[in-house]
Amino acid sequence: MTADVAARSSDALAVDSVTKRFGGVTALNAVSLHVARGERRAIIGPNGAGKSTLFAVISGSQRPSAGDIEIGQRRTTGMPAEQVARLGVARTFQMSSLFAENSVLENVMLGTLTAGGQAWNAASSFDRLAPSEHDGRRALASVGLADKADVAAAQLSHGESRQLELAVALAQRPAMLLLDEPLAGLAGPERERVGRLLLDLPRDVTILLIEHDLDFAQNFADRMTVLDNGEVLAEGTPQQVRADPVVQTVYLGTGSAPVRREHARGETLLAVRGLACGYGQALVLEDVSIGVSRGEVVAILGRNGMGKSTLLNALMGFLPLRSGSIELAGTDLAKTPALVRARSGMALVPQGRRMLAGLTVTEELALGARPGPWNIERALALFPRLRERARNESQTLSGGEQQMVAIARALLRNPSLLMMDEPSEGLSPALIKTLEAAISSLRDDGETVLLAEQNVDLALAVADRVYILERGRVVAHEPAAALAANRSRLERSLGL
Amino acid sequence: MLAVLGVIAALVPFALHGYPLYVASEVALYALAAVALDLLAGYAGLVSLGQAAFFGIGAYAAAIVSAHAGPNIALTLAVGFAAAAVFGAVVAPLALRSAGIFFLMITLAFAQLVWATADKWRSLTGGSDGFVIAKVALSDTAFYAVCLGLLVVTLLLLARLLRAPAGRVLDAVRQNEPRARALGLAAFWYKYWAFVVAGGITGLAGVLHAHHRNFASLADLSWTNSVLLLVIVLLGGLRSLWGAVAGAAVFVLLQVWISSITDRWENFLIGAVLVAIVLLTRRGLWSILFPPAAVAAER
Repeated sequence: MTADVAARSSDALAVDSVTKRFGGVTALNAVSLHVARGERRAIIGPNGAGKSTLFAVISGSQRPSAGDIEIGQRRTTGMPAEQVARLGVARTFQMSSLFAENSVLENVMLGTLTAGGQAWNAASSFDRLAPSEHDGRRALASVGLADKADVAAAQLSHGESRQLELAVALAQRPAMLLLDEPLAGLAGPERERVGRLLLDLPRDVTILLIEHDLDFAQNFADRMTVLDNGEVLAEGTPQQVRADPVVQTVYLGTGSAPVRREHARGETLLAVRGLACGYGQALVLEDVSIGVSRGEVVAILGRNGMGKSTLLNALMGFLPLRSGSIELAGTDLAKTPALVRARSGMALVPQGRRMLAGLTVTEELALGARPGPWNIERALALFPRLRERARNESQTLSGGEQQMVAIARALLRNPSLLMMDEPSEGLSPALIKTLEAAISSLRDDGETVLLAEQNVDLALAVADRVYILERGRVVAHEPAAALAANRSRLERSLGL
Repeated sequence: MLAVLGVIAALVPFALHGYPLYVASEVALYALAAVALDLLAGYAGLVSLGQAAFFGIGAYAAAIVSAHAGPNIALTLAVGFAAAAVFGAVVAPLALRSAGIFFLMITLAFAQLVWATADKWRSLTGGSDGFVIAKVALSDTAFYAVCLGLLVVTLLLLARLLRAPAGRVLDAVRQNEPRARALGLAAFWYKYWAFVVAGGITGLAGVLHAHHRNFASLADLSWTNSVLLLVIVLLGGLRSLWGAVAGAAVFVLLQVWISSITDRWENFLIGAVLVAIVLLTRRGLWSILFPPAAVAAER
C-alpha cells in the first residue's frame, strides 16, 4: 500500500496514514489518500465511516492524532483552518452552516474576502466590498439564488441553504473544493440544478465529494474511495468500486424489499382541517386538511420549500396556527402548546436531528423515554450501530448516526403518532434500506406514522397513502399503490 | 434623530451647571465604557464580566500619573488608554481560549486578580483608602466637552469600523466561527483586537471617572462595576452603539433620581425598574425608538 501512495508531484492532496481519535473512538485509522491535481474524487461509505472527519482533518478544523497531510506539496498537518483555507481550500458543511443573521448576499461576500487564497486581515481597506459584491452576485446567480440576494440566510428553505452553502464555497474561488453531501435534502429541479452545477465546475479545480447518491457520485468522479469504520476499504474507478463485492455488502446493503402485510385500518387518529400558518407576514400553509388513521403510514411528498417541515412543526405546536383545527384521537389540540401535544402522544423526529449538548447516546435516549412497548433495548436492536456508540456524546456522532438517535429517541416516547421530517436525509443507501425496514415493521406492529419526505422511493415503499404539497396546499391525495403504479404522473405532480 | 441628540448634548453645558452638568459628564463617561463593552459583547459575542479591570486600570493610571507628573488630562488619558490596552493584549490570548460562560468567568477572574493586587500593593494604590487626585485645570464645562468629545469620536470610529469589512467579519465570527475560519478569516485575531480596543476605550472611561471624582478607589476595580456596565449594555440593547449610550443615560439618570427620593430603598427600586424595562423591551431600550424592522431596513 505504502508503495502506491508515495508522494507524486502532481498530487493536489496527499493524506498519509492519518489517524484521528475522539476519546475512545477511532474515527480514522491510518487513512492514506492521494488526489491528483484536477481530479474529482468521490468518498463514499456507510454512516459513521469517518468521511466528514476526513474533511475536517484535511481542512484543518480538526488536528489529526497521527499522520501527515500535504496540500499542493505543502505540509499542512496541524495548520489552523484559516490558513488551510488561504491555500485555496474551500469546503461545504454536511449540515448547512451559514451566517444566519446576514443576508444571502452578505454570506457570499464574506466568502469572496479571501478568494483565490489572497491574504486578508483586519487592516484591509474599506472599499474592498464593491468588487466583492459583484463577485458575490455572480456566485449566487450560478447556483440560482440571484433573486434571494437580500433575504436573511435564516429564512432560506433547507434546499436553498444547501445552494447558498455551495455559492459561498465557489465565491472563495478555490483550487480545491471539499463538498460534504451537497445533494442531501435536495429533490426535483433543485437537485438537478445543483447536480448540473457540480458537473460543470471547472476541471482545474480538484474536488473531493462525499455523496450517498451513488449514481451521481459515479457519474461525477474520476476515482472513488470507500471508507468503512475509519479505514480505506477500496479505491479505484467508479466501475471497479461498484463491482467490488465487499463494497456491495458493506455499503449498498443486500436483501429484498420487506413484504408488505395488509392490515385493517383503524379509526381516525389525526384529523387536520383547514390549517393555515406562516412566519411573520408570509403565509406558508393554506387550507391544509389531512387525516391519518390509527395503524396507518401516511407520507407527505413535495419539493423543498413547499411547506412539509412547516406542516409538521405546526402539528407539533412549534408554530402558531392562523386558523384550522388539529384533532388527535378526538381532542382538539390546535390551541395547546407543544408540551401538551407531546404528552398527548405526538412525537417528531425533526429535520437536522437536534442533538442535545453534552449528553451521551444512552442519556439522550433515556431522557424522553416513556413506558410502553419501545424500550432502549428494542431501539438499540433496531439500530445496532448505536450500541457501539452508546457512551459517546451524541453531538460527536456522524450525521447519519445522529439521525438514528433522533428516530430512536422519538420511538422511545412510545407515541401514538410518530412524525418524521425527512428521516432519510444524509443516510447511506444501506441505511435507507434499514430505515425502510424499520418503518415497515412499525406499520406491521400497528404504529401510526406521518412522514415528510423527498425520497419518493422510500415514501412509496412504506406509505399507505400519500398527500402531495405544492406551494403550501394539498394538491393531491392518493393511495401509495396507485402512485407507485403510475410514477410518471407522480413525478409530474411533484414537478420532477 | 441622531442630530437632535447631538444638539441636545452640545447644548447641555450652556443650560446646565453645578450638579446637573456633573451628571451629564457621568453619563458621557459611562456611555464610553458601555459602547466599548457593546463592541465586545454585542458584535464580537464576547460577554465580559471583567470590564472593571480596564476601568480601574484607567482610574489608577490617572491617579498615579497625576501624582508624579501633575494632573495633565491629555497625558493621563494617553497612559490610561495604553495601560488598559496592554493589559488586554496580555490577557486576551488566555481569555480567548474559552467562549460563552467560560469567557465570562475567566474575565471575571482576571479582574479579581487585578483587584487583589491593587488591594495589597498599598504603596502604589493606597489600598482600601483609595487615592486622592489633584483636580485637573479644567472648568466643569470643559471637562464635559472632553468626555463628550471622546464619546463622539469613539462612536464615529466604531460605527465606521463595524460597517467596514473588518466589522462584518467580526460579526460573522460571532455567528459561526468554524464557518468563518473555513473562509480563511483568522477568527482569533478579530476577537483579539476587539478585546484590546474595547479594553483601551474602557481605560479612557476609567481615567475620566477618576478625574471626575478626583479619586481612584478599589470600587472602580470591583466586580460590581463590571456588572453595572453589562446591565447598561443589556438595558440599551446589544449590537447597537447608540443603544449603549441610551442605556448609560437611562441608568445614570435613574440612579440620580431614585437616590434623590430615598436612600434606603435605592438598590431595590433600581432593580425593580430594570426588571420592568428588560421584561417590556426584550431587545433593549433602543428597539423601542427604532423597531428591529426599521433597523434592518437602515442597514
